[in-house]
Amino acid sequence: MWHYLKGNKEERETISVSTRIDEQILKEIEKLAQEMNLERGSLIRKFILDGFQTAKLRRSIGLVRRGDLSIEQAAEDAGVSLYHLLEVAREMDVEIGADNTTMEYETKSLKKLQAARKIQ
Amino acid sequence: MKLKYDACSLIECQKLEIIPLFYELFGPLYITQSAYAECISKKNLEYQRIAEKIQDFVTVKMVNVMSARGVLLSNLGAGEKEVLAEAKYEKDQQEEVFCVTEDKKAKRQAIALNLEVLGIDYLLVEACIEEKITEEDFDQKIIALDHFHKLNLLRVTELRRYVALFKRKQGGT
Repeated sequence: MWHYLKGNKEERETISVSTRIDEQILKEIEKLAQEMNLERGSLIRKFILDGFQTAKLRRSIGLVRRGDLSIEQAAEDAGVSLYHLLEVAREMDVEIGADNTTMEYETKSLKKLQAARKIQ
Repeated sequence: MKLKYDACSLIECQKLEIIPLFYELFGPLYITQSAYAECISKKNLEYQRIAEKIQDFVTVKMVNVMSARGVLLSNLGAGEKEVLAEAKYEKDQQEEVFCVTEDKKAKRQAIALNLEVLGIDYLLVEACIEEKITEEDFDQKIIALDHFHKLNLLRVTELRRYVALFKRKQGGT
Protein backbone atom coordinates (compact mmCIF):
# COMPACT_ATOMS: atom_id res chain seq x y z
CA MET A 1 0.00 0.00 0.00
CA TRP A 2 2.84 2.42 0.53
CA HIS A 3 6.40 2.88 -0.57
CA TYR A 4 9.04 2.09 1.90
CA LEU A 5 11.98 4.34 1.02
CA LYS A 6 15.19 2.41 1.06
CA GLY A 7 18.36 3.91 -0.41
CA ASN A 8 18.01 5.81 -3.68
CA LYS A 9 15.00 5.96 -5.97
CA GLU A 10 15.98 2.95 -8.05
CA GLU A 11 16.21 0.72 -4.99
CA ARG A 12 12.81 1.63 -3.58
CA GLU A 13 10.97 -1.36 -2.24
CA THR A 14 7.20 -1.49 -2.05
CA ILE A 15 5.66 -3.26 0.88
CA SER A 16 1.99 -4.03 1.23
CA VAL A 17 0.41 -2.80 4.47
CA SER A 18 -3.17 -3.45 5.48
CA THR A 19 -5.20 -1.36 7.85
CA ARG A 20 -8.82 -0.90 8.85
CA ILE A 21 -10.77 2.27 8.15
CA ASP A 22 -14.35 3.42 8.56
CA GLU A 23 -16.62 2.29 5.71
CA GLN A 24 -18.08 5.76 5.23
CA ILE A 25 -14.58 7.26 4.90
CA LEU A 26 -13.66 4.58 2.37
CA LYS A 27 -16.73 5.49 0.30
CA GLU A 28 -15.72 9.13 0.37
CA ILE A 29 -12.17 8.23 -0.65
CA GLU A 30 -13.50 6.16 -3.57
CA LYS A 31 -15.67 9.07 -4.67
CA LEU A 32 -12.73 11.46 -4.47
CA ALA A 33 -10.48 9.02 -6.32
CA GLN A 34 -13.04 8.83 -9.12
CA GLU A 35 -13.19 12.62 -9.35
CA MET A 36 -9.40 12.81 -9.44
CA ASN A 37 -9.08 9.97 -11.97
CA LEU A 38 -6.93 8.00 -9.57
CA GLU A 39 -7.03 4.46 -8.33
CA ARG A 40 -8.25 4.10 -4.78
CA GLY A 41 -4.93 2.62 -3.66
CA SER A 42 -2.94 5.46 -5.25
CA LEU A 43 -5.02 8.06 -3.47
CA ILE A 44 -4.72 6.31 -0.11
CA ARG A 45 -0.95 6.06 -0.67
CA LYS A 46 -0.83 9.78 -1.42
CA PHE A 47 -2.78 10.53 1.77
CA ILE A 48 -0.40 8.40 3.82
CA LEU A 49 2.71 10.02 2.33
CA ASP A 50 1.29 13.53 2.76
CA GLY A 51 0.33 12.76 6.33
CA PHE A 52 3.73 11.24 6.98
CA GLN A 53 5.50 14.34 5.62
CA THR A 54 3.30 16.61 7.73
CA ALA A 55 3.88 14.53 10.87
CA LYS A 56 7.64 14.57 10.23
CA LEU A 57 7.62 18.33 9.72
CA ARG A 58 5.54 18.93 12.86
CA ARG A 59 7.84 16.71 14.87
CA SER A 60 10.88 18.66 13.60
CA ILE A 61 9.21 21.97 14.48
CA GLY A 62 8.54 20.65 17.96
CA LEU A 63 12.23 19.80 18.34
CA VAL A 64 13.18 23.32 17.19
CA ARG A 65 10.81 24.83 19.75
CA ARG A 66 12.51 22.81 22.49
CA GLY A 67 15.91 23.93 21.22
CA ASP A 68 16.98 20.37 20.36
CA LEU A 69 17.28 21.05 16.65
CA SER A 70 18.13 24.14 14.63
CA ILE A 71 15.69 25.65 12.13
CA GLU A 72 17.88 24.75 9.14
CA GLN A 73 18.49 21.23 10.36
CA ALA A 74 14.77 20.76 10.88
CA ALA A 75 14.08 21.87 7.30
CA GLU A 76 16.79 19.50 6.03
CA ASP A 77 15.43 16.59 8.07
CA ALA A 78 11.87 17.18 6.95
CA GLY A 79 12.96 17.64 3.32
CA VAL A 80 11.32 21.05 2.96
CA SER A 81 12.60 24.56 2.28
CA LEU A 82 13.25 27.00 5.10
CA TYR A 83 10.42 29.15 3.77
CA HIS A 84 7.98 26.26 4.06
CA LEU A 85 9.14 25.35 7.55
CA LEU A 86 8.77 28.93 8.76
CA GLU A 87 5.29 29.11 7.25
CA VAL A 88 4.14 25.87 8.86
CA ALA A 89 5.59 26.88 12.23
CA ARG A 90 3.67 30.15 11.99
CA GLU A 91 0.47 28.32 11.08
CA MET A 92 1.00 26.07 14.10
CA ASP A 93 1.59 29.20 16.21
CA VAL A 94 4.81 27.67 17.49
CA GLU A 95 7.60 29.88 18.79
CA ILE A 96 10.69 28.62 17.00
CA GLY A 97 12.92 31.67 17.26
CA ALA A 98 15.20 32.66 20.10
CA ASP A 99 13.79 32.98 23.58
CA ASN A 100 14.94 35.29 26.38
CA THR A 101 17.56 32.92 27.81
CA THR A 102 20.34 34.24 25.57
CA MET A 103 19.46 37.91 25.96
CA GLU A 104 22.09 38.74 28.53
CA TYR A 105 24.79 37.44 26.20
CA GLU A 106 23.25 39.15 23.17
CA THR A 107 23.10 42.45 25.03
CA LYS A 108 26.85 42.15 25.69
CA SER A 109 27.38 41.37 22.00
CA LEU A 110 25.34 44.44 21.08
CA LYS A 111 27.56 46.61 23.28
CA LYS A 112 30.65 45.15 21.57
CA LEU A 113 29.03 45.83 18.19
CA GLN A 114 28.36 49.44 19.21
CA ALA A 115 31.98 49.82 20.32
CA ALA A 116 33.25 48.31 17.06
CA ARG A 117 31.07 50.68 15.03
CA LYS A 118 32.45 53.67 16.92
CA ILE A 119 36.02 52.63 16.11
CA GLN A 120 35.11 52.32 12.43
CA MET B 1 33.93 44.21 11.70
CA LYS B 2 31.93 41.52 9.94
CA LEU B 3 28.36 40.40 10.46
CA LYS B 4 27.70 36.85 9.34
CA TYR B 5 24.12 35.88 8.69
CA ASP B 6 22.65 32.41 8.48
CA ALA B 7 20.03 31.54 5.85
CA CYS B 8 17.04 32.03 8.12
CA SER B 9 18.20 35.49 9.17
CA LEU B 10 18.81 36.53 5.59
CA ILE B 11 15.35 35.37 4.56
CA GLU B 12 13.75 37.28 7.41
CA CYS B 13 15.82 40.40 6.63
CA GLN B 14 14.64 40.19 3.05
CA LYS B 15 11.01 39.78 4.10
CA LEU B 16 11.31 42.80 6.41
CA GLU B 17 13.06 44.76 3.63
CA ILE B 18 15.87 45.78 5.97
CA ILE B 19 18.87 44.51 3.99
CA PRO B 20 19.79 48.01 2.69
CA LEU B 21 19.39 49.40 6.23
CA PHE B 22 21.69 46.77 7.73
CA TYR B 23 24.14 47.27 4.86
CA GLU B 24 24.26 50.98 5.64
CA LEU B 25 24.72 50.41 9.37
CA PHE B 26 26.93 47.34 9.53
CA GLY B 27 28.45 46.93 6.07
CA PRO B 28 28.04 43.96 3.70
CA LEU B 29 25.98 41.02 4.86
CA TYR B 30 28.36 38.09 4.93
CA ILE B 31 26.79 34.76 4.15
CA THR B 32 28.27 31.38 3.40
CA GLN B 33 27.69 29.44 0.22
CA SER B 34 25.32 26.97 1.91
CA ALA B 35 23.27 29.79 3.38
CA TYR B 36 23.18 31.48 -0.03
CA ALA B 37 22.12 28.23 -1.68
CA GLU B 38 19.44 27.69 0.94
CA CYS B 39 18.06 31.16 0.31
CA ILE B 40 18.10 31.54 -3.40
CA SER B 41 19.25 28.55 -5.39
CA LYS B 42 15.82 26.93 -5.71
CA LYS B 43 14.43 27.55 -9.15
CA ASN B 44 11.27 29.41 -8.42
CA LEU B 45 10.25 33.01 -8.80
CA GLU B 46 10.33 33.93 -5.13
CA TYR B 47 13.91 32.73 -4.77
CA GLN B 48 14.98 34.55 -7.93
CA ARG B 49 13.41 37.78 -6.75
CA ILE B 50 15.37 37.52 -3.52
CA ALA B 51 18.58 36.86 -5.43
CA GLU B 52 18.09 39.99 -7.49
CA LYS B 53 17.32 42.13 -4.47
CA ILE B 54 20.19 41.05 -2.27
CA GLN B 55 23.02 40.70 -4.74
CA ASP B 56 24.34 44.22 -4.18
CA PHE B 57 24.46 43.83 -0.41
CA VAL B 58 25.76 40.37 0.33
CA THR B 59 29.16 38.81 0.15
CA VAL B 60 29.17 35.06 -0.32
CA LYS B 61 32.06 32.96 0.85
CA MET B 62 32.95 29.29 0.51
CA VAL B 63 33.73 27.80 3.90
CA ASN B 64 35.63 24.69 4.82
CA VAL B 65 33.56 23.32 7.69
CA MET B 66 35.96 20.39 8.11
CA SER B 67 38.49 22.79 9.56
CA ALA B 68 36.12 23.44 12.43
CA ARG B 69 35.36 19.79 13.14
CA GLY B 70 35.63 19.13 16.79
CA VAL B 71 34.34 22.50 17.86
CA LEU B 72 30.95 22.19 16.26
CA LEU B 73 28.14 20.34 17.88
CA SER B 74 25.47 18.43 16.03
CA ASN B 75 21.87 19.27 15.15
CA LEU B 76 22.71 22.36 13.14
CA GLY B 77 22.03 22.82 9.44
CA ALA B 78 24.88 23.12 6.93
CA GLY B 79 24.50 26.91 6.67
CA GLU B 80 24.51 27.44 10.43
CA LYS B 81 27.55 25.19 10.86
CA GLU B 82 29.42 27.17 8.22
CA VAL B 83 28.57 30.50 9.83
CA LEU B 84 29.85 29.36 13.22
CA ALA B 85 32.89 27.60 11.75
CA GLU B 86 33.95 30.64 9.78
CA ALA B 87 33.25 33.02 12.65
CA LYS B 88 35.33 30.85 14.96
CA TYR B 89 38.18 30.72 12.45
CA GLU B 90 38.16 34.49 11.93
CA LYS B 91 37.87 35.22 15.63
CA ASP B 92 40.96 33.06 16.15
CA GLN B 93 42.65 35.32 13.54
CA GLN B 94 41.80 38.31 15.80
CA GLU B 95 39.03 39.57 13.54
CA GLU B 96 35.91 41.17 14.98
CA VAL B 97 33.04 38.91 13.96
CA PHE B 98 29.36 38.88 14.90
CA CYS B 99 27.05 35.99 14.08
CA VAL B 100 23.46 36.86 13.23
CA THR B 101 20.98 34.09 13.76
CA GLU B 102 17.37 33.72 14.78
CA ASP B 103 17.84 30.17 15.90
CA LYS B 104 18.07 29.34 19.59
CA LYS B 105 20.16 26.20 19.04
CA ALA B 106 22.65 28.08 16.86
CA LYS B 107 22.79 30.90 19.42
CA ARG B 108 23.57 28.50 22.24
CA GLN B 109 26.31 26.87 20.21
CA ALA B 110 27.77 30.25 19.27
CA ILE B 111 27.84 31.15 22.96
CA ALA B 112 29.51 27.82 23.76
CA LEU B 113 32.17 28.73 21.19
CA ASN B 114 32.55 32.15 22.83
CA LEU B 115 31.43 33.93 19.65
CA GLU B 116 29.50 37.19 19.55
CA VAL B 117 25.92 36.49 18.54
CA LEU B 118 22.82 38.60 17.94
CA GLY B 119 19.33 38.28 16.57
CA ILE B 120 17.77 40.54 13.94
CA ASP B 121 15.73 42.15 16.72
CA TYR B 122 18.95 43.33 18.38
CA LEU B 123 20.19 44.82 15.12
CA LEU B 124 16.88 46.65 14.87
CA VAL B 125 17.48 47.97 18.39
CA GLU B 126 20.80 49.40 17.20
CA ALA B 127 19.13 50.91 14.12
CA CYS B 128 16.61 52.59 16.41
CA ILE B 129 19.27 53.84 18.83
CA GLU B 130 21.22 55.22 15.87
CA GLU B 131 18.01 56.92 14.71
CA LYS B 132 17.99 55.15 11.39
CA ILE B 133 14.47 54.05 12.22
CA THR B 134 11.91 55.56 14.60
CA GLU B 135 10.53 53.78 17.65
CA GLU B 136 7.29 53.29 15.70
CA ASP B 137 9.23 51.72 12.82
CA PHE B 138 11.01 49.51 15.34
CA ASP B 139 7.68 48.34 16.73
CA GLN B 140 6.31 47.71 13.26
CA LYS B 141 9.39 45.68 12.26
CA ILE B 142 9.12 43.63 15.44
CA ILE B 143 5.44 42.97 14.72
CA ALA B 144 6.36 41.96 11.16
CA LEU B 145 9.13 39.71 12.45
CA ASP B 146 6.63 38.12 14.83
CA HIS B 147 4.35 37.56 11.85
CA PHE B 148 7.06 35.57 10.04
CA HIS B 149 8.11 33.54 13.05
CA LYS B 150 6.42 33.84 16.38
CA LEU B 151 8.59 35.81 18.77
CA ASN B 152 9.10 35.20 22.43
CA LEU B 153 6.95 37.71 24.32
CA LEU B 154 9.42 38.19 27.18
CA ARG B 155 12.14 38.89 24.66
CA VAL B 156 10.07 41.49 22.81
CA THR B 157 9.05 43.20 26.05
CA GLU B 158 12.66 43.34 27.20
CA LEU B 159 13.86 44.79 23.87
CA ARG B 160 11.12 47.42 23.84
CA ARG B 161 12.10 48.41 27.37
CA TYR B 162 15.75 48.59 26.31
CA VAL B 163 14.93 50.91 23.40
CA ALA B 164 12.64 53.10 25.52
CA LEU B 165 15.28 53.38 28.23
CA PHE B 166 17.97 54.31 25.73
CA LYS B 167 15.71 56.86 24.05
CA ARG B 168 14.90 58.44 27.44
CA LYS B 169 18.63 58.69 28.16
CA GLN B 170 19.23 60.23 24.73
CA GLY B 171 16.43 62.73 25.36
CA GLY B 172 17.86 63.62 28.77
CA THR B 173 21.37 64.40 27.51
